[in-house]
Amino acid sequence: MTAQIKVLGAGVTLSLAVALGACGSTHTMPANYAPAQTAIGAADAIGAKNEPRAALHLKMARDAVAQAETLARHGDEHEAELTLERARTDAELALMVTREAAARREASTAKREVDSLPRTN
Amino acid sequence: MKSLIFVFIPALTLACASGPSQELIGARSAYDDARMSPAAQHTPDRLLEAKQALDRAERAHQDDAAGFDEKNLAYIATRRSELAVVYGSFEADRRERATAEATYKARQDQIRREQSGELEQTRAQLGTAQTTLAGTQAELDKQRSLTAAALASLGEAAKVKDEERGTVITLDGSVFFASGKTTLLPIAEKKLDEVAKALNDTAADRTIVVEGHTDSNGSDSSNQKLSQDRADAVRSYLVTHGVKSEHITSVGKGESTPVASNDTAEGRANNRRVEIIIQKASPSR
Repeated sequence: MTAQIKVLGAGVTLSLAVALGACGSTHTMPANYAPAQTAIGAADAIGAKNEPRAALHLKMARDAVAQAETLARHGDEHEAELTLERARTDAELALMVTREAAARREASTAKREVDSLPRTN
Repeated sequence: MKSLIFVFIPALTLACASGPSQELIGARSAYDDARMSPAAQHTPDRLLEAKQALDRAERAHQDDAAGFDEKNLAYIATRRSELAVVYGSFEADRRERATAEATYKARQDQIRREQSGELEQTRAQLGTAQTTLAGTQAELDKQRSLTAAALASLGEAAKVKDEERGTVITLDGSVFFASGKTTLLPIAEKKLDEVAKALNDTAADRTIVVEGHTDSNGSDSSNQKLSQDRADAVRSYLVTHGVKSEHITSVGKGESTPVASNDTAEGRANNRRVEIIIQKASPSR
């Protein structure tokens, strides 16, 4: 019961925030905004900032989001959508570059372990 | 000429305007790279996404050459191609790791099997060696007891003793030979029959040495000859009674190896002797 109240409370708070945000601005965020932010969050969570190439793409993604916000504020919806798509693609690349680097290290470790075994007849 | 310039310049302008942007050129190149990468083999679906992104950029180019859409869609297409390459590498890494882990496990199993096999082999060899050793020991014990039993009847005329050089049967010289003679006395022949039987029964394949010994009376040379002749006489008798000639040798030791003092009659009697040495069997392999 307590948990339900908490969830209900959070929902009301979120609705109010959205409503206030909507009232406080003259534009709505483009449809690509949420997917771009989600992709950036995923890349960030996996540690993309610690992988040089991934960190670069993560920064490009964030810059593109900022650029899209500006475009949206100026009413350039179409440009904002495309820019957010760029952001999402850069964030996805950051994520995959990070995962691939980890997979490469794991493969290398596994091969070293094989080499460490004595040769059989 | 003037009209030609008027025609040429707008045509040139149109050609420049309809050319692909640097972004689109880059996107095409990125896609070509992706096609040649492991992505083509491992993640063709990602390569297809890259192709679709490039097609979108190409259409934008047709609609509005070098416009905002073309440049941005070309950028996205480039990233999609790069993503395809990374996905391909990721899949290749994953497979390499899986192969290495499988190899590791297989090799570990093989090592375990080999070690287990070697251990079993060693155990089997040890078991065989222990069985052989036990058999050899039993055979030695049997031979020793048979020899001892067979020679027990020789009584005072012969003594049997296990020494480092083998089983030594010492024959009393005064019982076997008349003083200064090399011909066996009748009683000696009877005793040697028993010795020959014991040797044939229990030491048929063993090396036997017959040693003749004297006391210190008389010259060294005469004692040497007497001891050799007596040893030869015993050897000949044993050979004629079944002991294999190739297994038995005789040697005269003269007075060189006394077992008692030559100052007393009893000591000199002990020194006058013939020893039959049955050498130890070679260890079995």
